Amino acid sequence: MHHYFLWTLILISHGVEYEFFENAKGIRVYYENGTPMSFADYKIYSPDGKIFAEGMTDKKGRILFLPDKKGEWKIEVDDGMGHGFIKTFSIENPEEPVVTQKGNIPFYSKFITGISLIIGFTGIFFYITARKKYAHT
Amino acid sequence: MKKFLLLVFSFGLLSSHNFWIDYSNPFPEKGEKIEIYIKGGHSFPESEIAVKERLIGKFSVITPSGKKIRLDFSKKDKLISAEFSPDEKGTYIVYFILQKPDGEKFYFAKSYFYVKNKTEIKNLNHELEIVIENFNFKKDEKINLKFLINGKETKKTLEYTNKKGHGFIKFRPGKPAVYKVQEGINVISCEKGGKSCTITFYGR
Repeated sequence: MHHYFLWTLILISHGVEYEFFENAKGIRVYYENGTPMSFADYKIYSPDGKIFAEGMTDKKGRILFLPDKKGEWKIEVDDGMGHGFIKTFSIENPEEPVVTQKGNIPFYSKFITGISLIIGFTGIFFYITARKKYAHT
Repeated sequence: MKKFLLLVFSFGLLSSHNFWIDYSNPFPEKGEKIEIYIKGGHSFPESEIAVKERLIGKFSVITPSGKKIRLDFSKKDKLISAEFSPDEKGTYIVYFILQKPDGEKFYFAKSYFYVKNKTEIKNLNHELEIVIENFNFKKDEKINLKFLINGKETKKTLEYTNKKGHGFIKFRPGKPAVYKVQEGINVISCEKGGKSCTITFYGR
């Protein structure tokens, strides 16, 4: 039974918390005819040249991020069809995130998940044991 | 959330590139292994852009007997390539669809080739589709074209590109759009509302 308790502990130790913040920087990318460059790949490099953010523009061609350093930042965007750009821009006053809402997964939800896992693994254990037993008979 | 966008940079970019289907051999023998390409860019007939693989929703062949075969493709320098061996006589349809992660299909390209004998050409009933009425793949043959949006004929100017050059095919009131087939590759394209389609065929 030690193993079952170990699983539950691991699950609890990987709890997730989140914050909403509102002072992100935004970049919007669009084609000459006004069509948003949706779901294009982008990379944002911090002043030390390392990748700071990577992902895809949203459906409206937007990217949001919050720089944490002063200096020259660089963005690369590639729509995968031969369009894209590289642009450097300057950040003078990096800001801390202005958090408006916090949250986490409620404890009872973790507890129920843990109990469900124990029941599930116990079921699998007894199923395998029973199969072996009936295979011999 | 009012201050969510504190700083907005905006960048405008040039309009879309064309993509088309091409072949290592557009008139193969039965059983011959050919390569089918997705080419793109402004250096027709050479490809200068390989479309990103994650955008290719479908890249398939429909055999003369109606069997659909999904092609295994890979990026090769400046194009997308797939191997195919036609194992029956008749006209094959090759097509690809480019789509965004949200499922929006924004580019549809199709092409025809045949082995030995030409058979009936079928339409795929895609949202945007250029269709040809009666086609013998002959050089200087005049073919009638239609541009369909959701199966409904739409009077819109089409663009053509072949080895002789580039131009427009206009619809005239009460008459079909007519195109004179050139030797070698012919690509006809149309765009509507940010979506595009092309049709490729070879004349000889």
